[in-house]
Amino acid sequence: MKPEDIIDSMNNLDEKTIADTQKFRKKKKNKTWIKWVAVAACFCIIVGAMLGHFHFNPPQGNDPTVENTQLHTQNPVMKSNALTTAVYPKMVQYPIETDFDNGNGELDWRAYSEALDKWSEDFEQRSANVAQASKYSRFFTSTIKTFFADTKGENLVYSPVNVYMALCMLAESTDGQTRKEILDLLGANSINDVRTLANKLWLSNYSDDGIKTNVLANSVWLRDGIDYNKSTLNLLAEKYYASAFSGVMGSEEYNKALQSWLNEQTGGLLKEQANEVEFNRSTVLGLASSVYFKASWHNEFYEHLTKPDTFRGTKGEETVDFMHQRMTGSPLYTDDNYTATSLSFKNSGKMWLILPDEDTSPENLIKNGDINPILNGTTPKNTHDNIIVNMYMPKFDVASSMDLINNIKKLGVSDVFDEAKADFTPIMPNQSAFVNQISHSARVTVDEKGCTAAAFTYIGVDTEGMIVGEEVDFRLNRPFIFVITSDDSTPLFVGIVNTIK
Amino acid sequence: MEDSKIVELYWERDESAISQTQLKYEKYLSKIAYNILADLEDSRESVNDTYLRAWYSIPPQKPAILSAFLSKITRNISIDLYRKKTTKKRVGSEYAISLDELYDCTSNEGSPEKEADAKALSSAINSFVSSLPEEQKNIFVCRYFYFDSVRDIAGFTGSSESKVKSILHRTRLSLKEYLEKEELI
Repeated sequence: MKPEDIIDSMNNLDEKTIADTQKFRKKKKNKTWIKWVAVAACFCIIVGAMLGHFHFNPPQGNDPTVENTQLHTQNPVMKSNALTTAVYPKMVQYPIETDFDNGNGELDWRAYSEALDKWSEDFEQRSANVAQASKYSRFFTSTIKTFFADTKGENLVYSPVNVYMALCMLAESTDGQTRKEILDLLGANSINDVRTLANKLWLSNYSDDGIKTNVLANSVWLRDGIDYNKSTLNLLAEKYYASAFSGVMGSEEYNKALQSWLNEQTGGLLKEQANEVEFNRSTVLGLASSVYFKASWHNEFYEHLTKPDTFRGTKGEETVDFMHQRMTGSPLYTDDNYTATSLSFKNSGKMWLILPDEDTSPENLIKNGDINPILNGTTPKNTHDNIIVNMYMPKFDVASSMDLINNIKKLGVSDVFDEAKADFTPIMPNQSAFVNQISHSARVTVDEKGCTAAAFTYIGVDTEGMIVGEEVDFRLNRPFIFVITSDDSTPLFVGIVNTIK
Repeated sequence: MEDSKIVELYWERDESAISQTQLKYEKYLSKIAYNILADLEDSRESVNDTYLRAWYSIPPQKPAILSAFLSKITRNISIDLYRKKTTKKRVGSEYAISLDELYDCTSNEGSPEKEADAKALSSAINSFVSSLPEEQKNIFVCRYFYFDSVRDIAGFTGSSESKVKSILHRTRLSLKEYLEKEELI
């Protein structure tokens, strides 16, 4: 036997093993990684160049390194398209002990406690902005019921708050019956209602103080050369903290700007999904919303207690890592068809965990409205307080993408999708348009330390029978005039060309 | 795009199957081809051939794990190409180096392979690999399936290159023992 025989027979290796090892290959653990990435980056650039499709512009001259591939990527592109950038409220940062060294390697208690007081004061003020979940509950429960009706046994992640925000902006951009249908879905009586609720929701969810990061970001994507109503854009900036961009729809550059925005706002968690979102050449307006959430568990799990165990999922048994924690003081809730408990995050928020009884399924619970109390911010039927919960929770990382158009149609919204009926006059007074795309992607990961999650919604508003694909020859093959102007429109040169030679 | 969707595209004879595959797996496949061929032109050729071969084999096939399915094709094509062009000097091909390493676990007598033997060898190697502890298995598959360099592997594991080398050495010795026990060498 020769070494080649072993190599050849390795080609019949079990595909699961190959795929598992690929997951392992994607892990990058220590500093050798940096070198490896640099090598891989060079490799990709060369291969990319040969194949003629770049993902970024390679810097000229020197060998590209990790740093400059990062810097030279999307940001400049985004900047060149930016009209206005939303300004978020300032937030006092939670003090970090190591920043308060008194010079002798000891903690400067006085300065530290002062900083802590400042943070608590700010935190309390912020807590006053609480949005009342009940006001949004109709939207949340109806969309959840519809979106989760048919999971086909796949994982599905949906961010209600994210889709809510996107639809609020859509309501602001429309009028008449088109708007009314959206307001009905949002469970609001008037556009003023929506505006107040959305603003509250934004403020109550905004946190960037070093311990909890949660931002609902919004943006509006305009098409060069179309008239937009300034006051509507201002309103979106003010109430929804929406940044505005303008560019050439369907161009690679503008697509990249949108993808970079989505990618940045979701902390790189939805890279693959973000790169699939593109403008059409007929797009006249894009509305994008995102949410990024990262928080530590109030009680972190001990890593040494994490052990492999069996998860019996829709695709059979899987051996996965289960985290373990003995929880005292966390109530357990029981209802007719499920048991539930929750894990708190540091300072605010929690993750509910709902386990359906053996004879039912998550889809059924949602379909029958069994978990509505939890979604509406109340608690389930029976609470068991004096109980110790031995929590075994698999580490997970789930993501999904869905096209929401059909589901939203099922919820009674139709005009906005109909070119003949959709009314976009509040934002584009002179332009017929309709919604052609609503894509929603979300991802949630949990581990011993906490939870990281992100979602985005992109609404693409297109037009028909205009601009699209139209090409005009502009051939300067007879005498013509030229004018060269400066930035402030001063004509620098004017001329007539009657002959070339 | 999800793998199942891409496979559907192949089944529907939709040519965007290839561009979607390219979009998702180009980097992954190029790395394998390059590890074997150590030549960018050749790697490119072999990755492009991979798409073509996938196009003609799905259907009838319906790969459950598309990445693994594709990686096998690229690996096969690249090794064939390597063998065809042996005259060309392959500086730094991880494939060439790993071949040398595998002399550790083969016998000196060159026995002509029959198809039945090849099958037996494949299933022996499969059960050997699956019997290995997690980390050792990953390292072995990285080295002899993906032909990753020892340095790359050290990066994945977060340990030193010498530790990876010694794990590989140990694994090769136990593979030899195993093959002897199975009377394959």
